[in-house]
Amino acid sequence: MDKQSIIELVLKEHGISTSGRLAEDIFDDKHFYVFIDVFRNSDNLQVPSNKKLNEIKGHIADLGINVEFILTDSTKRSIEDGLRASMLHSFPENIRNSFLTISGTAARVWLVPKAAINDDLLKEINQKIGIYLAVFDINHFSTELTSAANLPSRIMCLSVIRNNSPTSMETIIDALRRRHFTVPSEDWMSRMLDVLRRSGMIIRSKGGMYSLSLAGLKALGTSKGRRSPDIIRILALARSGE
Amino acid sequence: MEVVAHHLQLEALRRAMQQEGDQFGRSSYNRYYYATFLRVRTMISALDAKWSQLPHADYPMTLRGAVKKKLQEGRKRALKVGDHEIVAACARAISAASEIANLMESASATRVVADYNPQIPITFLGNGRFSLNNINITEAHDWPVRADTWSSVIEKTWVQLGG
Repeated sequence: MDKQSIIELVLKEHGISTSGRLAEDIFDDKHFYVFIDVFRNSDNLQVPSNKKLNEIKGHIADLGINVEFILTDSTKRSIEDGLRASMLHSFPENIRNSFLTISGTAARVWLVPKAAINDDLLKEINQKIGIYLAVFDINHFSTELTSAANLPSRIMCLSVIRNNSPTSMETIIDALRRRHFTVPSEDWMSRMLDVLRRSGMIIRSKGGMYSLSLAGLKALGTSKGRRSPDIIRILALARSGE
Repeated sequence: MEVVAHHLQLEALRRAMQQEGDQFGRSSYNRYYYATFLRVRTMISALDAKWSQLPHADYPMTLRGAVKKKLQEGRKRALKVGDHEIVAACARAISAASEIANLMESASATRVVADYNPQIPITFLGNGRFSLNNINITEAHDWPVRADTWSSVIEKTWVQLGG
């Protein structure tokens, strides 16, 4: 019996039906790709389960054949298409694209925004998604916005202060903008610095210069190599001509 | 690259009744996969320059292993400084890495069918679409778009962590 027939026989024994035909690997005659269309049961669990597929893979490996299962989920795909149509129809100004992924029982909706989405709008979008997904018995999901505004994070601000300390607010803004972050205004920056100071991560000296506190340094941690903060700091000092 | 892939896709449909239809169709799957790979490579090289040399077959493993680990470290650092937005962003990026790994596995297997399994033909579906081993061409058309979305999620998180 040839290898393909052996694989097909084992799959049949376990009640697994393939989608399309087995594909060969011309570089390895013991390696095959098996496409399987999975579906979800009433508990929203994948059938056949990964556990079952791994067991079958093991049985086939015992016979000296290495199979790779490629899972396709045509049901999920049509739910995803419908969700996209609904999102683009209801929020044409704000949403560019959407994807649905399901791993284990966790459903995730990935939204690619066209324009900023505020909390109120997000609530409205989530309601719409919830109603739609419930039709398919998907009752829990999370929404992931894929691109938020390009504001520097707290951790990024700390990192810039560490590299340049003691440093003025103007230098911090410059350094962040050089790294292509959007700093909306001095007011925004000053509020950010205030938050960092009140949480004990940075200290402000009399001349309005900022440095990391010991707690801040410890929290930020360090790394070795070319990107080490020590090296970046030396380079920053050299640039400033001190 | 996606433009090339799309051109091949349209050409395959135009020649559906001829023998070359099959070859154009298979080639478009190949190019959609390559476009996907190039996008992911840009992202992964930005994370660590040494990964620019990584063979494509190693991508899923690296995404599930080393890339995930780097993002988990970032998440830990963000937790320490109380940056909850970045903690959430890291969690999001970790899921994105796992989705890219899954995507690359199935796209790569489809490409193997297209390039090395000529006995499995392109099926023209008569609705302006075709499929290969039940993978619809619209799905392949989506690969680079998905790869781009998830790669940007990782890149945006990565720059916030300050390398």
